[in-house]
Amino acid sequence: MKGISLSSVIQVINLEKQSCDIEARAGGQCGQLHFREGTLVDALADGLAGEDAAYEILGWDDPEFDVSTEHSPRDRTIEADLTQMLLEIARRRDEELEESARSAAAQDSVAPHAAPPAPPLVESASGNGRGGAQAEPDIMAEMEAALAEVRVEPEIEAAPEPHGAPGRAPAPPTRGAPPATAVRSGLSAAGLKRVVQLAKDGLGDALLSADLFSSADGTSYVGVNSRPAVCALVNQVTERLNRAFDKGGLPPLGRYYMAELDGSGLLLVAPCGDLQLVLVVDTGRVQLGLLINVVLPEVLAALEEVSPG
Amino acid sequence: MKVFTASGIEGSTPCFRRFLSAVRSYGADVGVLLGDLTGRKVVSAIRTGPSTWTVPLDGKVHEVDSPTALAELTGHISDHGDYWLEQTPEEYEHLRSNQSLVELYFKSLVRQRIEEWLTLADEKLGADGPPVFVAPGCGDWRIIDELFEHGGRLLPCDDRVVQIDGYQMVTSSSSGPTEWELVREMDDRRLYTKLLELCSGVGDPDFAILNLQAESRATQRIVKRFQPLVRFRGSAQGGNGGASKQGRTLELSPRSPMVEDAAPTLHGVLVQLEGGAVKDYVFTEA
Repeated sequence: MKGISLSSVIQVINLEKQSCDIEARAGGQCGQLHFREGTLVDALADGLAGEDAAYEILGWDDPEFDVSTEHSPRDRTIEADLTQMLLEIARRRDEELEESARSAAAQDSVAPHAAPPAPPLVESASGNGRGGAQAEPDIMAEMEAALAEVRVEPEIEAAPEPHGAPGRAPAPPTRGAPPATAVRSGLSAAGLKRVVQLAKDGLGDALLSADLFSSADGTSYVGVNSRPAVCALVNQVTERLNRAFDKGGLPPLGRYYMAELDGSGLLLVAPCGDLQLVLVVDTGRVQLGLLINVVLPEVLAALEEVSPG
Repeated sequence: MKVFTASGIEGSTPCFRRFLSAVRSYGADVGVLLGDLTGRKVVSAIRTGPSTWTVPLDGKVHEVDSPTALAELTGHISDHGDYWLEQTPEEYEHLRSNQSLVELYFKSLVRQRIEEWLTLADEKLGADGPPVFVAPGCGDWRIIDELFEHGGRLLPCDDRVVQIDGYQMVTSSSSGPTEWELVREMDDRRLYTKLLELCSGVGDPDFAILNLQAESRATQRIVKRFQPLVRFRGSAQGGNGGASKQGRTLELSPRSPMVEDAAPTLHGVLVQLEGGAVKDYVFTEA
């Protein structure tokens, strides 16, 4: 049985005063929990019995388990209250998480300060990297190809915090993350991450990718399913739109622009000072009203907050 | 004071996220989320091979041939508020003949999702956001009630009177008799007595908000007798909702989600109250 947690099942058994036996397995270990009218009366686990066995089983990460409503009589060996035991387990887990966070922070403190050179994405898009009418079809083709990539694991990939002494060894790259890029001075890494987090929270799995990148060189600072090529190409599109609007006597770009993609995709770009946010959204999974009226204002406010420009 | 009230999200996490975002985005001083909060069914994902599953869903059998496709399908199930459980064929057969076990797992999944929402609310609302109240609906199992009593950012308001910025808000998840034999239904006489007792805690009806989702003779009598400034009520499945007057009371009913809605949708209403009067209201859909 997968998709359900042992602690949720135990709490319902307890609340509803049910009698049943649970057999749990994790990492080659196995154990049993015995409930009578909602009370945990006995437990066994790899040579342990009673309360010790119960703590052992309840501390396992994501165990597999079977519940049997057919149960035999058991002597009571556990007197502790189940709720208190679950709270104690939660407290121990929190302590472990804090310890891991402290270790991670110590690791971060040796992150590099200077950014490695940005990849030559601009050149790959247009040949000479800037301007030129003949470059535009290439940009669109490149963008189409870049957007066609499908990536999974929409975890936020952030550049390391801008601290640590220059010259120290860089932290190892995380799985699926783009090359590590230090956030340039004056920008808050936490603030940048928050902008993308808000988009992720608001759009859920409708968010196919997100990148917050520098308008100076198209380098992505933080992203979800980060697409560096899209950043570089969008950077050029924004620049050309601004130039075209200027030449055409139109007001400059406002807070964002959008492009409908073939299928159910939507590309949304929000230039803000020296930063640009690019979101690729599956409109089949989110209503435009939610995107425009609820999620976007929140994301733009956070973007304005974090952008020094 | 602006109150944003939404209802009937029925287990959908995307709708819950939208509710949390909307409270801030609409500039509400108070958020209220009314039931039903929980989903309606558990879907079995039966593992038939190392990377294959059979998923009976809505009268069709989906043959799934990769973990990615399974994640997509179960994501769709969860987004629409339902629950899923991966099982071996033996476990599936065992569950089919053991209704009490099915109910145990169903209730556990329901609690699990509400616990996830509590964490999400604490993260998204932060310490300085507006107060957000929550009450289950008459179809929600009682096992979720105690989850809201632990001092998180979601504040319980069921079967009590809460004070909000000079107004009193009365909420009850109880309902009169229905054809569905809901968890919180009771006969009209008992319901009337219960609501009467609850409303006796209200000072000035001009500054009272009444959240009674289900409609029955008892709720109609209570509204007629107390004449609160505004009442939030649910609408029947697929109903359009809307606004109506019952004497001095403005009754507001957000549209009910359609079963066949392609994407989960949050229906709500934003009301502006000022000096014991309804200054403005707007129905929302996100």
